[in-house]
Amino acid sequence: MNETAISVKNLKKSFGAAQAVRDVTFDVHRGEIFGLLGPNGAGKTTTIRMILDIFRPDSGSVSVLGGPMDDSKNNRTGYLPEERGLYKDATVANCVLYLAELKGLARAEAKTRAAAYFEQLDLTAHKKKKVQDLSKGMQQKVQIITTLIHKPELLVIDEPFSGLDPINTRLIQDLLLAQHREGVTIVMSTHQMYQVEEMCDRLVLINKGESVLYGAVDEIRRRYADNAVRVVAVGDLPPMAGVHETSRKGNARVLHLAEGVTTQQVMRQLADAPGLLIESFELALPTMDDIFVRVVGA
Amino acid sequence: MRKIITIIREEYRRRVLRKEFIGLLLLPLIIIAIGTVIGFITSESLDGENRGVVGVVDPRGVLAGAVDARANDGVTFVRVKGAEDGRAALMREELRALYVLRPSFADDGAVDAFYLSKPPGNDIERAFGAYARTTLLNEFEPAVRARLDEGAVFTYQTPDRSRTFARDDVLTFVLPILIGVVLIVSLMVGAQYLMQAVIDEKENRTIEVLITSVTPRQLMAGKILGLTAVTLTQIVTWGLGATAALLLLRERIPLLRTISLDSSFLAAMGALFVLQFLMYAAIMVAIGSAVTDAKQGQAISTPFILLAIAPEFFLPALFIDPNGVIAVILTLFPFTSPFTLAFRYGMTTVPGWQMLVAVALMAAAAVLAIVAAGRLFRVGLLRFGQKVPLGELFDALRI
Repeated sequence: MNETAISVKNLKKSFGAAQAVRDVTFDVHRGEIFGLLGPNGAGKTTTIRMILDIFRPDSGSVSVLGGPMDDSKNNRTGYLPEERGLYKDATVANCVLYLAELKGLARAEAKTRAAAYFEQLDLTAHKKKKVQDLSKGMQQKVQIITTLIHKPELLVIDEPFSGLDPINTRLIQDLLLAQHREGVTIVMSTHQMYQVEEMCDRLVLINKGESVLYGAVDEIRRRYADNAVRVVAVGDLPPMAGVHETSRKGNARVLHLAEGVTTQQVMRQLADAPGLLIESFELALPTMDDIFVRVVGA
Repeated sequence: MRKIITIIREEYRRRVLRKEFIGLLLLPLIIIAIGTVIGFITSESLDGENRGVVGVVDPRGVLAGAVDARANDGVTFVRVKGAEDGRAALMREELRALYVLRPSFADDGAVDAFYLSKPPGNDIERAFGAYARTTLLNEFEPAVRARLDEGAVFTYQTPDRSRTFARDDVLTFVLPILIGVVLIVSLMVGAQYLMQAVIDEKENRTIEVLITSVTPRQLMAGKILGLTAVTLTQIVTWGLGATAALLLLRERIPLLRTISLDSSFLAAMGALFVLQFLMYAAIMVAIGSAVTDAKQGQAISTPFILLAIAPEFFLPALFIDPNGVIAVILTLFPFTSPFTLAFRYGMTTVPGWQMLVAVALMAAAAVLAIVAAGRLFRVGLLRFGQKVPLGELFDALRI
């Protein structure tokens, strides 16, 4: 049985007449990367803030690292908010050191770790600059350093890749995956569905304040898969029994199978087709983008 | 505690390293330094104007029987036989000035004064007046003459003699008011800065990161204590500068020797200021956390600022009756206490019990404000871009 890092049960939160979170329930297992998804205004950020005890829920319960959030758990948690918060008129180094100290790190240790991160993220030459003089992408990297510097057990990151170019996106992705390998639990809220497919083990999808989809990413994709296969091949596909529709998706063709037809039956027909060179044959799973649109748009 | 100290240190460092703070800190010191230099130059110049030998021609012998010469604060008066002799001595620069008493001097005190380049200063005129009076009173004993000349000097005291007050000490009247004004200005600048800092952290979203690192109480305590330390740095620096200037000028400007501020007043003012600063800081933190932007913060904080300077609106009443009911109420009311006490101290003897009660009430008000601000701080802190409904604020204040 998986150990639970975060347990959220029937959370509700209203601001005046507006009900931001109606009923959200999910568990995050220790050591996994968990996706917190949803359209804008779905209640993701409010849920995160309740997990971190920034807001108190109207009802429901939250357990973090084995109990309610408290000051000692602040030091074991790293939070990257959606709206970045850095002291614009402070130097990069001072800003990082101050926020690290507030996470319980001794200043000398914070300096050593900050220097290593500056080097890794190519910020050493900028550490004496004021935060406001950095580009948006650089500020984002500084913010990520302040989230990781105290080596948290639990990371809650809201849109970690916004404002980053592909190179820096890869850099941060590698950084987060390294944290994952070290056993850090990561809760990631993002709109970039390909990142969810690439990085997340499990997810919850929140829509209009309610959790509407929850489970392992692979399992959800299979659940939403049609009876179809994706084929990449050189040559024309022959007419095949049991295939009622063929469509194109990039360089691949998606074969939609009739009810009761198995992939093995289709594969056999393709293998027997003269002059056809099969490069790839796989179950046509929907992307998380497709699933998101289907669930939220429904 | 470690996190609170980190916040105090950071708030202090960030504030005192700002150019605006250094400018604000140095400006009064520069003014004091310039004032000191001007004081030196003026006292030197006045010394020249008010010293020397003054010839006196007394054709009617009004001042007959007087001693021929009398030194008075560096001025020496000598009798000269006639106006012509006197003018000749003046031309030879043996005299600083020449006073020729008109025949009507006994009736109207008319004197023709002659000088070479600069007219004699006021001190010489005053010294001559004293010289003339004591000369006319020559038949009395010197001590009696001096007493008649100076008149009575009243020193008002409390029954236990713990506090005294002399009406003639202009600086003893002005200085406490000046101290009160400086403290009020420092209070306003510091408290407003604190409110702005909270609003800035809300606007740039730093608050969300902070609040997942420290508790709202730690954050508020660190900010308030950090800013209190900044303001005390300012006031102690100004105080040391002013004291140094006073000590330097004291020997040269006799008026400065009359300054006396008793320790009970200074202790009461110090305690009232620190406590009032804590109270205002808490109020400003609460306002800063509850509003959406600086403009709104200014609008809500203005009535609180007006309260602190409210004694100015009651100045006529305080002048007429510095121990009246209004004066006592304003002394005890925490928002108006320090300024009123400073004002009254220069005019009367404020009873010790009033100072003690004022300090106690201020301490209670400061504690109340800090507790209330702590509750409002958490509620208002994360309402970005939206006003916190009054109902929510009242709910937060409920015990």
